[in-house]
Amino acid sequence: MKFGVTMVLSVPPPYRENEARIYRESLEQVRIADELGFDQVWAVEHHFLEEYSHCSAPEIFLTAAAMQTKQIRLCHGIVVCVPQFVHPVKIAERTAAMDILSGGRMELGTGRSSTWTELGGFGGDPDDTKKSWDEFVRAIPKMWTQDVFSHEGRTFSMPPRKVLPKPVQDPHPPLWVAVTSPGTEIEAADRGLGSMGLSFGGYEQQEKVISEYRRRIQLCDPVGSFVNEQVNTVNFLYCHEDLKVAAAVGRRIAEGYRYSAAQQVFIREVYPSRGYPSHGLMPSLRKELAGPGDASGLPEGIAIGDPDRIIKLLLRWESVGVDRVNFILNSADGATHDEIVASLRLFAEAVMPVFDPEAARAEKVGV
Amino acid sequence: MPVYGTLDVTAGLGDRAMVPDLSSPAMTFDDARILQFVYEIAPTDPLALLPPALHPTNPPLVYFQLIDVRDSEIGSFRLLTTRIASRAGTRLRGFLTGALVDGEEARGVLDGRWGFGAKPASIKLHPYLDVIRCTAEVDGRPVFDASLIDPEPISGGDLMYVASAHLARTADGPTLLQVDPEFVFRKADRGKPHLALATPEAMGTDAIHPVWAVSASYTSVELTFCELRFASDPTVPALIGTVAVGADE
Repeated sequence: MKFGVTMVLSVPPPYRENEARIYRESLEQVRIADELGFDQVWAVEHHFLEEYSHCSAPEIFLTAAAMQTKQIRLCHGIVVCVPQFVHPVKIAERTAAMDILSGGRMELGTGRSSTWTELGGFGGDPDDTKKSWDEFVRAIPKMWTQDVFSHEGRTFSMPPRKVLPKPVQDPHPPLWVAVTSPGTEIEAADRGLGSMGLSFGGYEQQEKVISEYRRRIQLCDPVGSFVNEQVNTVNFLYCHEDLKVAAAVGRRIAEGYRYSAAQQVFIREVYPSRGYPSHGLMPSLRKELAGPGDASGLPEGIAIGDPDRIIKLLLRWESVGVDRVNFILNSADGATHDEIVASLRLFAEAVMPVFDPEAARAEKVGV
Repeated sequence: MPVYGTLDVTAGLGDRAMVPDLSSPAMTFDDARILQFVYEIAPTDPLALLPPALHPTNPPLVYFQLIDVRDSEIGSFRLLTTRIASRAGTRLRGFLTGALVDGEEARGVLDGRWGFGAKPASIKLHPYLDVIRCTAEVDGRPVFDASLIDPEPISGGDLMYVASAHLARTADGPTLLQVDPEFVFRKADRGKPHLALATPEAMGTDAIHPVWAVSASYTSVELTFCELRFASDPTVPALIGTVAVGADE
């Protein structure tokens, strides 16, 4: 199992005073995560989501991160594949440019937005976002790999052009799709895309989703040049030796996230459309984050606690088929920068070795 | 950090409906039609529209909803409500700011059981094939006029109606009642919304300014106003101030 960090850039008011600090601290957290051996950093794309996420230009954040890290993979996502937000050529171009600058460390997460706050802000049509996402994810790998690209489609059309630059990774960076709505894991599998699960807990539900994804991807017609059979989930992280301290700080982070996410308006709540059969993140926010929790009183499956609790729950996630876990480190200043850094260091020291095949092998042979 | 409403729930309390008994029975309307419009709004002060139990949405929104019942045990009536989108915890609620009703018998029941506090009005629904329009007048003065243009069929499952939060007077003082009707959809359409007129008299406040059309829908349903299940202290966050009432008590 691999671990990463997800940078949401949640900013509490007053925004102008706090934004620069949050950006600076978040970059520092990425640099430290890289040093500690975390495998990847995701930078989300959100617009207009006051307090919840001020990460509207993730490619800029990731470029800055690339310049001060060495190993960590840089995951651009979830990029909104809706034409009112961006032309697919721009996604291909900037991802390739960042791949060059980072020495081949880019990955691309794709999606379509689930909030009216964002989609309505750009004038996107809720009926069309699935279709435009599908057209984008089929086109972008071709833009990376074909010398000359042309396209006649429903969402966009263009005459033959050389889309430049090309990515360093050969044939191209791995592709992912956000899986929130039921059934999207099937769409991910059928296209050979990695599954980026955006729910927080519920082992049993996730196990079903992952099992179906694994079965279907064996039969896929990949949109890219290779199949990215990986299951990624999002979680929270607050690790502290004292379970009570971990619970207090971790709950502040999770509650800050839950509250600020709930302030946004999800498409299904205001616009009747066949394209949005589910409520996005909301069911997960209610059930997994606000549920009764396990014996420790903490939400089941959420990586808040002492190293022992976190190891146990991550082993459980591993057993249901998760390949990667990405941790949201903060929300609404629920923890201080120093607390987050200490949590990252403790996690790297006490938890990561359990999941590191090389460390386990070394232990067996007494190295 | 959570932001909550700042509405003074005691101001103008005398105008709110009195709900003497929180365990009144449910009432089902076999053949109801619902015309709903959703608009983004630019409130003068978004927090001042909501009680401290609720927190605002981003962006702020208003729901205009007409319920048209041609025949029922409380007669024929049309109920036009204005509600502000808000959240009780993570749950979306429409906080009622104003209600008009055409149907005197219904008015008493809707006020006394569910706390609508509706003012009498003349309300008409014009369900044509190319446009579905609602107009309302108070004392002969037009106060509301909105249309759904170019209706197209959708599935009732594509549509979500939001439960309401009504500030009413009860034996315990000002109380926020959760009114969550149930719907069995028979037919549903959506179309382009056009709001020609929404006066403070219709909306119950002069602080709501619709600025951006979101959606319009029209349905034919079996509608049940359920027994009240939850009530909240309007002065504290709903997550901590909500209690079960009626049959769920």
